[in-house]
Amino acid sequence: MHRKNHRQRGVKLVLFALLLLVTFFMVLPVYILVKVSISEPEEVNTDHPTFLVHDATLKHWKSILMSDEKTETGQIVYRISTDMYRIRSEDGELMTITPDDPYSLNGVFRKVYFLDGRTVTLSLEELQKLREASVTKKTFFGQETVRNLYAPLWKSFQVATLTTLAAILLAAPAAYVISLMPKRVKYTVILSLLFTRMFPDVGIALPIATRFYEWQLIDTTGGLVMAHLIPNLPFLAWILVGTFDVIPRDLEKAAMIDGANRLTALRRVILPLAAPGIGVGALFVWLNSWNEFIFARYLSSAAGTLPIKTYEVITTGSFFSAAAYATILTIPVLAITFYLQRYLQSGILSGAVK
Amino acid sequence: MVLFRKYRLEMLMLLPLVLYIFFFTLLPVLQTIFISFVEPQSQQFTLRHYQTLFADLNFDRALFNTLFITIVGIILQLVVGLAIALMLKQKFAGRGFFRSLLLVPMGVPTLVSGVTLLFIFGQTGYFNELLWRLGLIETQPFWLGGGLETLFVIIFADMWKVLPLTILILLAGLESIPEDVYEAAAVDGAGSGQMFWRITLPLLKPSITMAVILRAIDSFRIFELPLVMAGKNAPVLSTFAYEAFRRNQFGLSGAAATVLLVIIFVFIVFYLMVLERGDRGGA
Repeated sequence: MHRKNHRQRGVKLVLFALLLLVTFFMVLPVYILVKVSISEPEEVNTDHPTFLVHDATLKHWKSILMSDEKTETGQIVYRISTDMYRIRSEDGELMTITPDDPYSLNGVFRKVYFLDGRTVTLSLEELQKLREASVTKKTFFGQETVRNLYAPLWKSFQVATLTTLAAILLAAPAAYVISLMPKRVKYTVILSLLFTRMFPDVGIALPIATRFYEWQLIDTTGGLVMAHLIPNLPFLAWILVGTFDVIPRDLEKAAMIDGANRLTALRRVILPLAAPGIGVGALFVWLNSWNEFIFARYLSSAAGTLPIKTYEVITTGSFFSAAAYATILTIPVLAITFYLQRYLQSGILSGAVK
Repeated sequence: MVLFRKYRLEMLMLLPLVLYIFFFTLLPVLQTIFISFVEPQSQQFTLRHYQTLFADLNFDRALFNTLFITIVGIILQLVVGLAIALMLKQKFAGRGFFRSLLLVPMGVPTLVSGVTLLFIFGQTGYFNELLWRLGLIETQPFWLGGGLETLFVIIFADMWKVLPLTILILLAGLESIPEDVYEAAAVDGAGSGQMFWRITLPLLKPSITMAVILRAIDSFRIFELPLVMAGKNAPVLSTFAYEAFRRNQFGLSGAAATVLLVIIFVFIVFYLMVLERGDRGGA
């Protein structure tokens, strides 16, 4: 008996060591990623890179985080709303503007700053007329930074957030109805929802991209949101059916007996109870959209999301910036994944996260 | 009509989702298949795109690469995933800690895992450096130039990224096997090897099926990892379809996507049918 215990302990120790090794390898790439992003180039860009950080530097981070320091933040960029517009500068010079000439206006100096560098001073009247003929497209960063970090970051954030909201609006009511269906029908519906995820994205993206070119939805936030709903709707509907399934039907009936109509009962009774489940599903959708690459690649030509930008940096730019971009891309994903850990333990759900 | 009136609210709630999936998933898939069979201008039926496709050496490579990555990848993932899941099933202090840490790759976007493994498997990457320091190599081999070694690097990268998923599915399956089955087997004098082959594996079958199908669908569609790590050196079906799209060869791209769709479909049907039959034979 004593010897058996001893042997068991030995086996456990070996298992423990093995597990430690496996875990080490699972975490190692993340360390390398961060390490490259804070290394002096000499430590990485050599025949024999070092494993440990000897000289930490933040210059790669600085170069991507501060690259917009020359442009004013929070400026509003305007475009002309008609095909052509003629302005007369204070010096009496005539100038034609087309919608391809974005500019910002400065009321204090009565100046028009074109994003390609030209500046024109106008009279107060001319400026007011120009303002009326302008449409705004609010951007927070100047043209130079479009190629840099913040525009893709902001776009990714917008797309992910809007996708999440739209997905909830579309999927939650449907999931509620599906959860009311008889068991057999319900499983068929859920299976066919998941069945749609079997189609290759490249097959779906091809006609979508050609159609979006016609509809001029390429590079727009709206177009990308519409595309990101494709993989996420079936997935969210499926999670939410599970959420609505566990809410007792009697509660709704009781509320209706008390005089509430169907919609009030839904809003006041069912929705609050489903809120935590909807929240978890929403986080998953947000993550998936934030990470999404294929649709973004098909539907972007100039203004990409953060994953697209990261890919561009890898193929054209330096490895260090790529590492820094990749790290920025990873931070929210890692944070949310750990927050959602207990929901992932069931395993099935985790299949939907990329 | 009566049905409609009775369930008007339900219909209204269900309709947006159904319409969206119809217009943005089913219709595009059908369109892709359609595009692959017609001339771009005249809309006449043609098999030209498929002829071009199968005559293209890159497509042959893409097809082989995709199948190789999926089949070898899934087998490796199952073996390693099952081993780790079996370890995690043991009760010991710090189990939760390991479980959490093993989830780390799941929190790394696929694209980023490609970037990171590029640092590791690049010419002067950390893997070569490790081999060099261990005295195994004199000059650094290039792992990403195409060929089998590149496929294995991609398989490794994919495995790193999805191992948490495989482990979680298998672990959930393992934990659903009741302890008393093992206790009864132990009373009957079964050894641990016998227990594994006779009890654990058969009872784990549903979890394995789920892991295989989930993984196969994703692995057939693999895109980011080959694109980032090897680019044109290791085409797969998805990247082939994408490159054709970028060259405005929509018919060719559609044909490649259709081939991919058929492969996924056939795999799932085949796998489920073989398994169903196996179950019936066993019963």
